Amino acid sequence: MFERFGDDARQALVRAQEEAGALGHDYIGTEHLLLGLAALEIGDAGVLSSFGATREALVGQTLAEIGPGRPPDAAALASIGIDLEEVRRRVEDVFGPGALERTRAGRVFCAERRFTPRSKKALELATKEARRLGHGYVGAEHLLLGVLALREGLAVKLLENLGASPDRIREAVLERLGPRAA
Amino acid sequence: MTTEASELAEATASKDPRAGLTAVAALRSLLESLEELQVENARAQGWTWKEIAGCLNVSKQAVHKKYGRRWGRRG
Repeated sequence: MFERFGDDARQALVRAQEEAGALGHDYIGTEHLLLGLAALEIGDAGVLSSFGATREALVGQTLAEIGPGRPPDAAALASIGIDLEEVRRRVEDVFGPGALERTRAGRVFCAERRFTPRSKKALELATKEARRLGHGYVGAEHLLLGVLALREGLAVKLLENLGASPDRIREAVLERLGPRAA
Repeated sequence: MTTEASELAEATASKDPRAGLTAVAALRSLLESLEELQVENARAQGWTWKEIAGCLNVSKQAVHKKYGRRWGRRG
């Protein structure tokens, strides 16, 4: 699915994962996609801040809507001086890849966060937007268009809370992409 | 006191109970996870419950009750 994703879109996805982790959420929802885009202000996704949807504002709204999750175990262990990655590496040296995660108690150490069905849908819509615009890659701007096109999920709600109309952001992105895009 | 121990003391004494308790819970999960891997490995290498219990500093009954069903029938 990600083979056509450009560097900036990939960066945004990595950042989305990090933002989810910082909030203690164990999934990547549309709100985290939006946060990843707002945090990087890359390409035409930088348009978000001109609508008042800065990373800080979005974090505030996310916390107001759903609150923080459980802090990730890696961060909790780091707070007492234990480097989970180092422990994982040493355990895997002896017992093989994924050893820690396959134990009963170890499932909580699973580092990977999954995309929610809605954020998967947003990624699909991003690919469609890129194709519709005749672009051979999926960039950060298409990712933003995908999130906006979803019309449901927390991301859209956060924008509306901030008085940033998803439709107007969409228009602004298309305008930046050039007259032929709209 | 080692660095780790002093940091542990610091975190468990943290004014924010949430941070301290979460760290304790994560540490317990890690401990359980490592114990499971080590017991499984010891059983696979033919260790008796008595030997395993001796190393873990618990009673043979305790370790057998916890893991006996899973890796009981070996060697």
